[in-house]
Amino acid sequence: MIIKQGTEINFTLNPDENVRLITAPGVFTPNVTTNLLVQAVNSVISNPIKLLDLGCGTGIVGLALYLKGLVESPLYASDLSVPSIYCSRENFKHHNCPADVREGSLFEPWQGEKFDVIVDDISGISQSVADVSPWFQEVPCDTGRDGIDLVADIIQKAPQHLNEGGYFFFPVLSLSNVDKLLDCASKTFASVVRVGRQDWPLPPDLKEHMGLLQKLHEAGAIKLEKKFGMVVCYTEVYCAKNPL
Amino acid sequence: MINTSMSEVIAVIEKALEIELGSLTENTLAEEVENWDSLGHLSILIKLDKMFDGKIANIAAMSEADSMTKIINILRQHNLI
Repeated sequence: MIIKQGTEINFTLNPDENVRLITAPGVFTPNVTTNLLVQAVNSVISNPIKLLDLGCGTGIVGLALYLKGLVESPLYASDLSVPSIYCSRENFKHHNCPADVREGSLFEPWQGEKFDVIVDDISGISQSVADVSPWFQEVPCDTGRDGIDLVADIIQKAPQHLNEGGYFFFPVLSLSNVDKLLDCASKTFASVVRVGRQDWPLPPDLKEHMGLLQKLHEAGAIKLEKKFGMVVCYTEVYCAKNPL
Repeated sequence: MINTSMSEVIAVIEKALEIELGSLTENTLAEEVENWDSLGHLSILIKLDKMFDGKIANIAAMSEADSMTKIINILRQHNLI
């Protein structure tokens, strides 16, 4: 398969660690959530595990954990986007990371399979926000008005794919209905613990759409916080275990 | 009575930016510090807000304070140091 306009980027995992990645149009660009997910898993897991990177994009989350020695080969990864499959395979190959990469939506490629750790790299934001944001241009994002459709589906299906004692990590963004999502998680898992949080300023591209954002906030579909003279958003990562 | 010293404020900012203690002076500009981008700036404000018991959250000028001088001046204007 020929991927046109592939771009090489260096993603900073931490001040001392850059990872070279290939990316392309249609592949989600690693960002704050990426680092938060890696740090969250790293804070809970200390031995190599059978890992699924769900919604892998460039493959950076699984790759970063592999480079930290936390992945039992092969690394399992999947994404709906064909360019993501290509880029992640290239990235794993470049970094000598044995990987089983499959194309498909959510858990479709993994029927009957179970993992020690599932990292949900699919974060939802309100569809209305995604439509005007810079993050989902040419990238699939079918999340619903309150941004939780995809992640809620993943949360509910995750237990079928977890080994006993397994962990499920998922991100929650304040540009979605956080309360509804966490309620879904607490009805699926006995333990849901926040293991990471990053506050971030609303990007300039979204500031232009404050009218829309304010309406979504008033409707409860997203959470906006105004402080320090700016609009502040946040990403949290939760670790869930013990399915109910 | 003002209990917080400038050195304590500088240390908190260094911690927020995850840089070595002693890296910053009262005259450092944001552009001179690699980690002092928009995320770094927000980290500074969150840590200062915690340090000053929530008194920073309503100071709009802090969002534009892109230097140690500006931050310190704002804190002085509000009798926080």
